[in-house]
Amino acid sequence: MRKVLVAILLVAAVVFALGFKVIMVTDVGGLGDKSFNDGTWEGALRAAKEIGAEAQVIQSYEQADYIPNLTKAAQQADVVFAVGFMMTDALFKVAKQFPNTYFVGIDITPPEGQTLPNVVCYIFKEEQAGFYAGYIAAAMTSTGKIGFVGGIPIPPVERFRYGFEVGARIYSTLHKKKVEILRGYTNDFEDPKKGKDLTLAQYAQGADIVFLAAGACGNGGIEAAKEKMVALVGSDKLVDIIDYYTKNKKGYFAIGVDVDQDYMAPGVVLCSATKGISSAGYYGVKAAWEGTFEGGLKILGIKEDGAGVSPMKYTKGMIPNIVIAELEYLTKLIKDGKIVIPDTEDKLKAFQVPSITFPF
Amino acid sequence: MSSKLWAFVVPIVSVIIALLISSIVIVLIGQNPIVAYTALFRGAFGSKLAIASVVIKSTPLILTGLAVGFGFRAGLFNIGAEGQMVMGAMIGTAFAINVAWMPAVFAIPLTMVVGMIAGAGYAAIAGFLKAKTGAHEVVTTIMLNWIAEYLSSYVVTVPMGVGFGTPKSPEIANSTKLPPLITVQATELTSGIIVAIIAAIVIYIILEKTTKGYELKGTGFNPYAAEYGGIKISQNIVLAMAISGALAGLAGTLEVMGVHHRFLGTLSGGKGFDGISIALIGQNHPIGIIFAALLMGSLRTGSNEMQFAGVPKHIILIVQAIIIFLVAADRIVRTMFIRKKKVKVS
Amino acid sequence: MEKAVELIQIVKRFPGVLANDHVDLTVFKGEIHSIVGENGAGKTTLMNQLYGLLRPDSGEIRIFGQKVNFKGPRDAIAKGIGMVHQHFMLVNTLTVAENVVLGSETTRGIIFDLKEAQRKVEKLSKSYGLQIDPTAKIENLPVGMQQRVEIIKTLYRGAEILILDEPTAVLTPQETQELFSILRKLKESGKTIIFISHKLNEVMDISDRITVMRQGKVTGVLNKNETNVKEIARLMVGREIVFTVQKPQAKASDVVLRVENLWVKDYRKLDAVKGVSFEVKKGEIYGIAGVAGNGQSELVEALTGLRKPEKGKIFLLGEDVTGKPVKELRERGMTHIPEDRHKYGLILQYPAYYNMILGRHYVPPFARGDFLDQKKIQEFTAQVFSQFDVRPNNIKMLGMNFSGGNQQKLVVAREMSAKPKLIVVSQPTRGLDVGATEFIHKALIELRDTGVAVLLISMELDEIMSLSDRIAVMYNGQIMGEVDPQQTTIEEIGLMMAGHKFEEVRRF
Repeated sequence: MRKVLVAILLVAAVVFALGFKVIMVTDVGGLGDKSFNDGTWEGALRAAKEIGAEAQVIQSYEQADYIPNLTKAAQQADVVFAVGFMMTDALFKVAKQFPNTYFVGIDITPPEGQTLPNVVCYIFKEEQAGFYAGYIAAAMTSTGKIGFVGGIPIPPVERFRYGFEVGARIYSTLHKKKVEILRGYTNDFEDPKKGKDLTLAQYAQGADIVFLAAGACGNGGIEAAKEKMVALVGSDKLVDIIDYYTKNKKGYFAIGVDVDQDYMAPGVVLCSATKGISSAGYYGVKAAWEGTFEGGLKILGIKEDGAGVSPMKYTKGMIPNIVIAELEYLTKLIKDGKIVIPDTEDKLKAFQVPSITFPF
Repeated sequence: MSSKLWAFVVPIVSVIIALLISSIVIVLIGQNPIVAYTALFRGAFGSKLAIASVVIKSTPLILTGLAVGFGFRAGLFNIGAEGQMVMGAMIGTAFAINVAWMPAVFAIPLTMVVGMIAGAGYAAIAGFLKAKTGAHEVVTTIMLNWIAEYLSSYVVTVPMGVGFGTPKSPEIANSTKLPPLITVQATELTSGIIVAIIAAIVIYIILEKTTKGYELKGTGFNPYAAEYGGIKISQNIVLAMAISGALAGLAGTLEVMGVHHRFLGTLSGGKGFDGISIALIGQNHPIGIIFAALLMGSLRTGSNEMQFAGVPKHIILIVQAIIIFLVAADRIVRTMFIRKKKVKVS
Repeated sequence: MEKAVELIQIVKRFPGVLANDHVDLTVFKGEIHSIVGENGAGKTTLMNQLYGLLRPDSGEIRIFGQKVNFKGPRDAIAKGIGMVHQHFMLVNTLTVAENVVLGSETTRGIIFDLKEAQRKVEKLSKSYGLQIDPTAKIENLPVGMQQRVEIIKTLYRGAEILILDEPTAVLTPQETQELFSILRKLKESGKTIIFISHKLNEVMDISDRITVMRQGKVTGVLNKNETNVKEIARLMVGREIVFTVQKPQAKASDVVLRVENLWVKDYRKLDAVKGVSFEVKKGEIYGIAGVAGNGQSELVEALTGLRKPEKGKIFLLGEDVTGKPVKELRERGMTHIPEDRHKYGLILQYPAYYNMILGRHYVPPFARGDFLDQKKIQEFTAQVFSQFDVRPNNIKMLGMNFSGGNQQKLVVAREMSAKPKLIVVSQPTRGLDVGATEFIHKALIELRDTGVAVLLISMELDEIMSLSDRIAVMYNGQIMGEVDPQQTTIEEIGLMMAGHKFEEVRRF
């Protein structure tokens, strides 16, 4: 009898787990953006596998699809992911209708005064990730010019830029190196062509390192960097690029965004300013499954693994050790709150580089 | 076969052939086409929500289809419906934000008129350039599209931008929101569809019953003969572009008033370009365009449901492409048929 | 004599039309045989069956006595039949030799042997006196030369029987004479030629025998030496044709159109009309003769509002209308039969009843306010159709589906029924058969007699001579002189057309 009971319980557990369903609704960028749609999906999938839940992704064709897609997802799933700031309105409209379904918004800030117990939103301290990009770019530039290519100038993109500018400013003050920053926006997150064109334009203006905070547009920027670098080096092999750089101390580089994009062009992508998107995806599912789900806004920074820099797997050989060491020290200062990277335009303007003395 | 019957048969047969061909693709990616198409059908017509979604999606498509189709009838290839739609939505929104004091009876029609004027004015630029300098409208409207796109990105981020996250304008005044016909959960089917159908009827009357329609179509068929007949070509080019643009502008305004309730940077989502395919499938006939838009709307709505059956939504792009191909091929066949008949008579 | 072609009781039906009604045709080897008939008599249909483009519903085709059953032109070519179409089937960017061998290229192995092709074409050209350079590009050749390329093409494929479908329609008189001498050479070398035309003078010039068709039937087979133009015309039309237009003396009165020192530029911005002055009076036909391209088209366009004149004045009924738009001129009572009915005269995609109101579509009774009155329009069109005998009597048929002659009737009917005070008529009978031509000539005279001023511009000297009450001759944008048709000769006008001033001509 007890055996039967155990068996029933086991079956019930499995059935229950099977019945637990995660659906992610992408924004119009869709899967394959090598950025936050892919990142969220990776994290959600990892969590779903661990708990044996079913996971599915629904892609949106246009903005008018958000509401119907979220509605359909909510009818079927236990956890619904809405990815991307574009879905803010739709997410809150639909979530109101389905109080028993958990919703996770990635890169979404709740509209003022709207918090729902069944909706958790994750945003990231992009400025902290951007800081790394700016510091490394300033350290590595041989022309004294670095570029920023943004998508649509929405807050997350702008926060990347604030951090990027501050990072560059800190390096330039500490090391007395003059660094100029070029800025441009593609006004788009989908078309790689636009990212490529803008990146090439900045190279033409003298920049040699461009930070791409433009979603899938950035993929085109990486392509541009690769083309320029290959033309310079005469090979796309990592060894040749490193050799060339060591000898000549110059090259064309891109800096990736959101997730570790270094692999997309080894040696050419200097580093990536990463957001903890996939951990947000992961914790969203886990929290719902474990019953620890808590509505509201969660801002993830360096401390919470919500912002950082890629391990620079391919480019470590090119970046001087001293720069890496300095970054380690600065990271600690940021974590301790001794340096606050600005997250608004006003704070950026008011930012003064504090006096920093490295202990080495 | 009579040409009227033919006009119905061709698109329907095209849809069937397109679904059959696409089913091969579905089999190739390892899915069951019957399951996929059942989901497609259910997603488009299986529930109140589905039907509401179809109508919501079709409304702007009817209007952009009319915009392009009307242009075609007057001999103009308006590729700029996209930009005109954005301008209509943007300026319509700017108006609608500021008229909270106005009762809905006035605010709703006025907002539509403002949006239409914006689209009409924007399209008239291309018409004017063609009439005065001969600059081809395909080139100028494409350029105007980019201007509209970048202008709108700027507007929603700087002068009209609000809040965090999405680049968006503030919400429009309540008095300018279209009253919903049906509300299913978060989905509101608004009266925009009625406006779109009225627009189609008005366009039909203009084209078929009025002297202006006679002149516009005549200019489209043979501008030389039109000029010979005392029709002022340049005036008609500007007018035709303006009417076309007004329809596209209305499409954008209705999206704001009925669906999004605010202006968003990427609001049009390519619907202006979809108008070209829809005009083609609807054979530039206002009533045909309504059906073509509903067809496209139901395919797209259904395709979202198809994703739940594990079939990527992109299949529907294949279906759409094949339909357009077949409808266009029918045109070619018919043109050849007509030419053959002419040979026989001589 | 050996029979090259025998068509026996050929029947070909199209929906609603019996195009060939038990047609018999015999063509002997080595003769030039003309087939004449009005537009729509079934000549082209018959030839398309002989060339394998169409298959007869019943009847028999024999080539050199042997019964054949063609499935397509390839079969016909294999039996030695070649056809030169009215519209040439040549690739403009290729050379003569390349065009000739296209589809049956000479090869060495799998390599195209251009040299061999050129040599063969040269040989053919020499032996028939075609004088054509095998290496010339088609686009650089005049129309007459292009036609010769078509002829060589058929010869190259071994044609013994050549069908030429209205070959002279596109040629100048001089080119026509050259073509005829080529045809005679081909005949001498034993080729058989079938010549399709409705220009009776040419037919009388070139043929040995003539088959006349009317409404799908053969109405006569004639020996050239035993017949005359009048007889052929009667068989073609089914009644006597009056070649000399009968008309009462004109009662010209007030000046309707006055043109003073008019200068007009053409589309290349070159002066095309250089200081032309004349008057057209109520109740007369004022003819302007001249070789094509001497500024007539630009003059007409300037008069009718389609082109702005550079300087000079145009007065209509005493009022200055220089540079006024078409609409205003029409409202003031000027109508216009244009020289190019496809380009200007008709909207081919519109039904006949819509074409019938072009230019007056916005005025009552055709419009009520901003709306078209479909009923009134159709009633009016039906009435005009019967008055002008437009066929078929189907006012809903699209403009493009009418035959050339009936399209012209549509235009003529529209412009005449608009109750004009002045009608500008340009090339009214170009490309029309005798019957339609006669009809339009009569209508113009009738219009004149009701007190309308008629300005007639034509390249056909016969037309000008027989219709006009006064004749001006245009050369190089200027009027060489004005003559009274009763007191002048073709020779005098011919000299003026060649650029001699009237005063010089009279001195000769």
